[in-house]
Amino acid sequence: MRAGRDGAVITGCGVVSPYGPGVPAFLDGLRAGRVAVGPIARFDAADLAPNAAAEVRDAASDDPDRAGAFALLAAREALAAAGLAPCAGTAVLAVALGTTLGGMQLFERWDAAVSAGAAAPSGLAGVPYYGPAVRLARTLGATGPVATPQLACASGTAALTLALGWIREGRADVVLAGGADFLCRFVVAGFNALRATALSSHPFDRDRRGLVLGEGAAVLVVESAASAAARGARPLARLLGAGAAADAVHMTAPDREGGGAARAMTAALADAGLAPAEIGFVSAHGTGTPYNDAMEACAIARVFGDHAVRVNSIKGAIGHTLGAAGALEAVLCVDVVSGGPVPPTAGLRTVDPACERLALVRALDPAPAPITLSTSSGFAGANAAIVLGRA
Amino acid sequence: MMRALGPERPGEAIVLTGAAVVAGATLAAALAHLPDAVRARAVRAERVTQLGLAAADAALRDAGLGQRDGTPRSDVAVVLGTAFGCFLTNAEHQRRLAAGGPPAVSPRTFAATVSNAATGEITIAYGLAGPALTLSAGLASGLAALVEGAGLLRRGGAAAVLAGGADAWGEPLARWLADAGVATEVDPGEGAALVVLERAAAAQARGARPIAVLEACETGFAGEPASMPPLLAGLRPDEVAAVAGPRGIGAPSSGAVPCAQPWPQESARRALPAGLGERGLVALLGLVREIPTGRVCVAVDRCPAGHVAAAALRREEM
Repeated sequence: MRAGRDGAVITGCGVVSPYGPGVPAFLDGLRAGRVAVGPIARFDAADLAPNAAAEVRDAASDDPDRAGAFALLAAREALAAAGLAPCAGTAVLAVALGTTLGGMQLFERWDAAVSAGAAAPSGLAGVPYYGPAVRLARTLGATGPVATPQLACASGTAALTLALGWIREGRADVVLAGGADFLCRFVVAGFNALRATALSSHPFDRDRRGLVLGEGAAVLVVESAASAAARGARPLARLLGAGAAADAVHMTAPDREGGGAARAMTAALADAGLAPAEIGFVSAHGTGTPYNDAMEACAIARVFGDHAVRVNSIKGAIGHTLGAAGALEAVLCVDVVSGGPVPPTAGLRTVDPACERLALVRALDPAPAPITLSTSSGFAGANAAIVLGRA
Repeated sequence: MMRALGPERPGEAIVLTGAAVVAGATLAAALAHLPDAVRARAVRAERVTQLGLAAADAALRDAGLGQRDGTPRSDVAVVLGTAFGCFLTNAEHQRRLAAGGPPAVSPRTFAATVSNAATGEITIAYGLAGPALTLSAGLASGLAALVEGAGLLRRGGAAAVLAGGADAWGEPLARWLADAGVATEVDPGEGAALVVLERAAAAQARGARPIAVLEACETGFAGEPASMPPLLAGLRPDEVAAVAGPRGIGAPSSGAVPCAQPWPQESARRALPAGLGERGLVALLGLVREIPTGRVCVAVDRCPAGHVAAAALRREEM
């Protein structure tokens, strides 16, 4: 296992979730198994079917760059937790912020204005996918690498894989790594057209019908162990390994055999120098779509064999937050390796026979898991996984 | 910060064993040369994906990795940088939704709005089942992807990496750039530039002939003035034969590309070509074909948004 001063540690976390802003609200909601899904209220959804989602109701309500605003709130919480507020000081700060929609919130309004021959809205320069990462970098004074990893719904996890690489190569002392996404008609109508959505999400359930979309952000302070030690910061967890792999099979449907997800998990374990049996908990992608969950059950069985590693999904509770999902799940893993309980898989009623090999967590489970793995998958055959360990 | 990485010990050096540039103007001809199965995928895809597939095909063939027997290659990675991804498809999806409501939305169009669509198509077309990363670093995306591809190789994440940039130009993007007030900072253009990166020893073992050695590369964020680091540190000024960079390069005092030391006076300098995220790598691959064997060329890109990326190649005997 990689350790010592050349390793990467997590020294702070920040979250904006459908439970509201802040890590405590996020963890409390998950532990209670509270479902934060309801009818879409923030924009006109009368003609959208289904029209349920897990919205963030009490943060950034007026910001035209909603994803960037979520990310900035999360980043500030993470920096404060790391003892780096209001900025990272002399450390070389980098940003890896995954997203699927980025700053596209204004896209709908811009398109409507263009179509109507009206004046374009202001603030369009922040619209691109890389808008939120740039907002963080400028606001918080980044001078190191700044990138927007775009692996669709695996973007948040991919951000942490980038961050780990940058720390190991000495290209940054501190990386704000995570993901951010927001909900709008553009994305809800699209997922509905794919028939991938449902009114409620039931990961790994026999009767699951689809995913419920969500929104939010999570940012983790990934720091070189040397940097954290030099300033006397107490690490919350260690980022031990990361891996990624393409399905190379189909643009929207996952590899039925879970090949890409299994390769990503195997690569992350190899990167961490760990055997599958050393993992105590897997935070699954677990969207609640028939194909994804069956694929993941296959992939986890391929990687872990007879090791009955505990598995959960939080998407039944807070929806599928797209590019933020992997980062939110990483924050959960940081808590679990620190001794926190594993939350239940909200929405799971009757386990699908195809998923029966998984040791699915049905109720709050206090048994410790000092090393965890989080896995994410997305459109275009994207897969990424990370391994986190107790500090 | 921008710390130039490398050079490394012989054998561990990172070399380019394949390279290809496809410009928008040559896309139709490039598509015609694709294998039938790949062309069939390309014609249904968005323009940025077409550019990416065409450049991937040429770069892999250039590296002697174009042939496949259907077996997925899990040791080959893809790292693609793109400033605007599938912006044109996003615009089409939005148009359909705005004009006809949810019933008018095409699932196929929506699925192709993700920025990693080009990467996904490349992995499927060529059975590349290793790590696949798509990233945006604004107009510096192509060079940034080269930097991340090299990092992946250094860390042992793959035996070979297909890395570079791709972006497509179109009316909705032009309109948006104008409405956003940033059109003057972009020279309209499009294309894809991809290279195959390998360790020198691995290339030698399979009999591949390197085009160039990746001497140094790094990314940074220059939101504040003068944060551009000493990219040329470690290179003797007389080794550098040519430099490409944003408009204004060659006049260190202008601050266009702040640098800790002056650019070599005797090196040829040119502005980056027209284009989007691919432009920095297009410039670098253009220079490396022109400089004498053994000499070094450098490309530096700086996106108005703040991203900076740079890379230096030493030309090998071709």
